[in-house]
Amino acid sequence: MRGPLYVLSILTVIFAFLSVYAGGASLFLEGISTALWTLLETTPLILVAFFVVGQMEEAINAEKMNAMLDKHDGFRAVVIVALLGGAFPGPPYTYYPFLARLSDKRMPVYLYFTFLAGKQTYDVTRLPMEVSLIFPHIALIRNLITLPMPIFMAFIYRVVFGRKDTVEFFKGFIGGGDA
Amino acid sequence: MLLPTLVFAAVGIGVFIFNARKEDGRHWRASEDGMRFLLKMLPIVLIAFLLAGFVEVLIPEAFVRDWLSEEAGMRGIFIGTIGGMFMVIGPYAAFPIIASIYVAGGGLGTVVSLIGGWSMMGFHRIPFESGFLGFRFSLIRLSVTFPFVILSGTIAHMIDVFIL
Repeated sequence: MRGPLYVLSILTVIFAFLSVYAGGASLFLEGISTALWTLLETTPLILVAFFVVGQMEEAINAEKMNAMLDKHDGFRAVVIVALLGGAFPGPPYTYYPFLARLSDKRMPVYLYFTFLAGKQTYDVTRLPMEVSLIFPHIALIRNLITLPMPIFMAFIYRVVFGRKDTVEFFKGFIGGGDA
Repeated sequence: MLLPTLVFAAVGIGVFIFNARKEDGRHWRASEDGMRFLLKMLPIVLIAFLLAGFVEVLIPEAFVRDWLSEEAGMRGIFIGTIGGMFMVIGPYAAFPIIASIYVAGGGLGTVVSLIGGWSMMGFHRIPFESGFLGFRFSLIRLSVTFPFVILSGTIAHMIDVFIL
């Protein structure tokens, strides 16, 4: 958490100096007032967004996901896995360990890629942030355009890997170092 | 902002009621977790807004017009995709910056490819991904994803040019 904070802080200081250099104190103050207005405008939605994130994390957990993944195969599995990926809450250090933990279940490897494509495209915990921090119409267009993409990606992964399962794919890596 | 706030408040209340059915206090725990998460992220949120404010007033109009605007076409889409990959920050930091680029005149194609590059190919996830699933997995995923990010930016650009 501290890494991004330091990087952002350094960048902010650099940009603050640049604003003074480029336009004097007035441009610096304009930058601050722009930031404050945007923050003020989006504060209610940010509060609600974090409330939703907390509730989603409680509603969908690794055990429920695991149970659903065990049940399905084929095109239906692709759609379900992509949606599950989008519904799976949390940052990378929650869903990558989850996938690594499932690797001995002999799941088709293309579903792993599909899960991540779904997570990175549909991420429901990111959606409130996207709508609140970016303009809603852009969020809508972006989501509509990318809606079918995880399914197309899954098709490519399926063609490439066929029925190859996770045990075969990750042989010698997970739990045994990079082969 | 009122409509999205109301929509997400409704979603939040819905999931809150869903969690409350278990009657083990998990709905309150989830609310506390959400607010704790917000407090944890607050420094990043505030700094990201500040940075976004400076970006908005600093980006030269000529640069936006030539490299990121609707007129930049495919150039803006490629720059957006690559730029998004290098934005090694969370959504609360990335979105205000992307929004500031749009306000400064960035094209829809550029903005959509920025979001795609950041969300689907961001380098900040690679250490986790390659650590848990291997470099081969990351390389395959990035190779398949790249054309789709470019495609989504191109479709957005066409919407920008022909519809909006």
